[in-house]
Amino acid sequence: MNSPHRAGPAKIAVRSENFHRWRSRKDKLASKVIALGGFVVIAAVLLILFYLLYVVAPLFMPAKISSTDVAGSAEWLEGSTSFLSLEEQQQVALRINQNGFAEFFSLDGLQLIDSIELGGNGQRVAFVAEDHGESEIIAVVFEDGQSVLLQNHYSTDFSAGVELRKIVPKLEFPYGTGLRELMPGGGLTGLVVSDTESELVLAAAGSGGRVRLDRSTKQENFLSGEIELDRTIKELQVEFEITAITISDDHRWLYLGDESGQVHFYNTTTYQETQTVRVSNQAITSMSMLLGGISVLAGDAGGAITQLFPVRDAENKYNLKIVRRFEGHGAAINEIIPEKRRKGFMSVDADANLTIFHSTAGEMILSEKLPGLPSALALAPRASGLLILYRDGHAAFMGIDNEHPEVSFASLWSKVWYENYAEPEYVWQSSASSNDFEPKFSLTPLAFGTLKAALYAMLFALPLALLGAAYTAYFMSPALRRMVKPTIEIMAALPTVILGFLAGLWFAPFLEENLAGVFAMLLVLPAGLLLFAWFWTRASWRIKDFVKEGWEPVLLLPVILLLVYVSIEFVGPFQDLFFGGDLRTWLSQEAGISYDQRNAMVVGCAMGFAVIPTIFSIAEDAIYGVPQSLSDGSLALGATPWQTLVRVILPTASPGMFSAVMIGLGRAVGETMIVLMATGNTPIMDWNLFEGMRTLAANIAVEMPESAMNSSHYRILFLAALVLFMFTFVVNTGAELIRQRLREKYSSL
Amino acid sequence: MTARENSTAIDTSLAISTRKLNLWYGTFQALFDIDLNIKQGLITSMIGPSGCGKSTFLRTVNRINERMDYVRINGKVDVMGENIFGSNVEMLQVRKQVGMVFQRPNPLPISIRKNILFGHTIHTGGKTGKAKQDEIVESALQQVLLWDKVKDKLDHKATTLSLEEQQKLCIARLLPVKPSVLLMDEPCSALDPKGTEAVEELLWELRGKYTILIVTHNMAQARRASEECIFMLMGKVIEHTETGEMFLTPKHKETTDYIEGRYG
Repeated sequence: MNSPHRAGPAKIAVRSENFHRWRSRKDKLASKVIALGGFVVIAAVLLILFYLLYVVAPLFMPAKISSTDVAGSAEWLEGSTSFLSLEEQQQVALRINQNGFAEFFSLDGLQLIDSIELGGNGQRVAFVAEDHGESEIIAVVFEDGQSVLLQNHYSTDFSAGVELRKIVPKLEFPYGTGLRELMPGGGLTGLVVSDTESELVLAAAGSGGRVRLDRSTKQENFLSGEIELDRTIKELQVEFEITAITISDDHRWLYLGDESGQVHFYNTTTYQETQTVRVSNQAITSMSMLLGGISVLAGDAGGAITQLFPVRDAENKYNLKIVRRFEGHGAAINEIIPEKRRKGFMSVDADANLTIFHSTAGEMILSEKLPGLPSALALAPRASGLLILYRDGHAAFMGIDNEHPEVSFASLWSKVWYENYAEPEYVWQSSASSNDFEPKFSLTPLAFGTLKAALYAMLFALPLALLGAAYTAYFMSPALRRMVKPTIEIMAALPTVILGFLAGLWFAPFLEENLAGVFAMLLVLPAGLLLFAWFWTRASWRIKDFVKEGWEPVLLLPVILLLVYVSIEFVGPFQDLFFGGDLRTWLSQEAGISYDQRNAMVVGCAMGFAVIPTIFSIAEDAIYGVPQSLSDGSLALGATPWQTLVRVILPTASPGMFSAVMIGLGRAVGETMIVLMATGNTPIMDWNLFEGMRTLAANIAVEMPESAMNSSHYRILFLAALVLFMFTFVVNTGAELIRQRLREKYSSL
Repeated sequence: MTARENSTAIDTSLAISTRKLNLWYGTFQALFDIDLNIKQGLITSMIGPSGCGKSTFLRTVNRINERMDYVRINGKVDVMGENIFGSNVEMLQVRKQVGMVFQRPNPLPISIRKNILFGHTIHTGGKTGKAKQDEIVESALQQVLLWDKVKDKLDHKATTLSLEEQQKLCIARLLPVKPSVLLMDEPCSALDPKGTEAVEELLWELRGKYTILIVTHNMAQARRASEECIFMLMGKVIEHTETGEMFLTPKHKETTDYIEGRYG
């Protein structure tokens, strides 16, 4: 053979000391840099987590009240207070005293700014009511039953510079300074005022069950453009003593509270009582509309507040339903003050407990015991401050820190009975055009949508990716494998926006048109391929020699294309026979399954397509990495390649394949662009394959640009991100644990 | 190749007989016209320098080479008088008949018991009763002298055993399939001297019951543990004689040079 190499032993190269020192320094540096890299990655992930937590945390912080006594003496303060109101900057307040004067005063030192006589002919003020809607009309009724309507206006005077700006209050009488008779003879027990663009309504309750409705419809004079009022007065007589009165903002419903704890529900078109609802066994002591004028809040002598609103049934009839109850402190509710911008409200009871609630969250936010019973309270328009005048004459201002009252665990994850809904539901609807809209922040439909999209994507991707990986790694000829694997890996680099774009604009309409064809493929493809495989096993040596072992997939390509073509083109007759011509129409009309063009099936395919390369690549590596000695051992025992694959290769590769599936799932859950473009983004909860969904990730992408920074909406979107983060974290940790156990079980050598 | 033409050459005392066996890996020819007659019940060793085609020959006999699509074979191989490339012969039957032990012990990553039963299960569909299975496991482990060591830990993973024990297990798991030929591809190269000795002892134990063809690099082992010896060089069989004769009076110069350690 080869003549043996006769050279002497190789010389050991002698290197300088410097060289060794330099080399060991490089070694140390490299290990430090690598360690640093790992540390930075972990730190970055933690940083993201902490930033999310930082933004989300205020949602769950309890509300706070800071109380300060207002300094200054108010010598001008005389007569008891009938009404108190605070302007937005919380610098100037309006007080109406019992003697018929409206007084503006500054909170800074309790200085009187202006005092206006309301012109009640020397009569004392009996009742003052404020419209909680947009008009902010204040109705003052004197003891003789005469009334006057006024409005307060605040303008800012910058003449002394921005720093020294002054709030200039002004009182207006939009319906004239003249008195209008509301309740002849007086004896008022309740008053409510509501002014909309089309109608002004004053409703007064008197002793002995008297109700007077003063309605003025507004008509614009087409010549002068002036508003003309057409006033009608309707008097009702009821059989019970009225303790509280309120009217819905659309003026369709009048609510009366009685001494036995019932709310009487009146239709203001027919003036008939439509319904009586018992909310308590004790007298109703106070009633008010919640912002938006749909829900009624009825406080009773037992300290509980009940929320009710009319629900329309299938026959278009309205039924007043008790929606939820807020338990108080056991003392009679003296006053309910709704917030002007949110669906929250505040109550004061006979034991001087001040309590803040939120209706959507369905819970008590905060409760504080006041030092004494207040004679009047005024809540700032943004509900960030409260001015209290006590009966002993001193005033206090309370700062309220209550940014996110609508968020509670229940309002995020449970069914909530929203206004105008027939029953409690999971709804995500974060914004609408009007201010008095009730935001619906249920994350459940979004989480559901995320799982639904991921599930359908995995349903599509898993069989293809895993079976493909097993075939490629184990059966495919090495030369073909060298082409197939990189090609599929390149698929992973495809921008998902392109996939989403194709899915939404090409595949979704295609699917809608060829629904029957696509379903036919599910039958035709496997059957056709099996048939072809059977023929192939029967084929003669001559034909088989054309295609080397492991190259069969190339042979299959034209067969697959042909089968797809056949399914799409020749499904027509079957569709005519079984589905009356069109499967899609048949589905919605005969089977009662609604069909959206952008649906879970489109997303399943598109997102499945996006995760296939990931799953395929990792799973293929895992299967390919099983030592050949194992398969040799099994084959040498006479096992078929299939038996070897199923009994030896797959179990050994299972940890890696499991990782592949989990990484694919993680990607499907977090995927944004495809679901954004191909789902229709309707946050519904339905497993229907033909309906869309909205996922957490797509929701963040859609709504983040339009949410006001640091609003509840903004923070809830961050919470959604945190939920996604936690989900991935939990899934990955779980997957890693399972993978470790599998590895322990199946590791070879 | 045709089975009919050479059917007259069948000799029942031969376990493996090849005629004009040629094998190519792509364009590289690894075996040249191999004509061998390996007798039943003997231990035959194959020696030769690396790359001379010993392992290729072994892998051809149990048709494990054909998994690679660039392997081309012609010629004829009979195992127990049956042409293994015949169109009526199933590859699985060949592998059942011809068990193989590899260079590195390759027990499956499952329990010892399941390793022994693996071959049996795939051929019978796993319908054997528990008692029968226990019997199979015990007899196989007894034959490879492993029973006393592992009888209390049959449910332990096979990969927890020592290399020597693993190799014995790999031999043991062939036995329930009832092969007539055992091919061993350098079965002791991963073992220490003690392990090697134990496996060699086992080979003598199995002699007569099975035809054993063992490839080895270790000439001392070939001399100690085989009855006939084949010397191969560059894909060709140079010499095939009784082991003692080969090491004392080799006929060919190449054999002498190899045995004396001039190359290889």
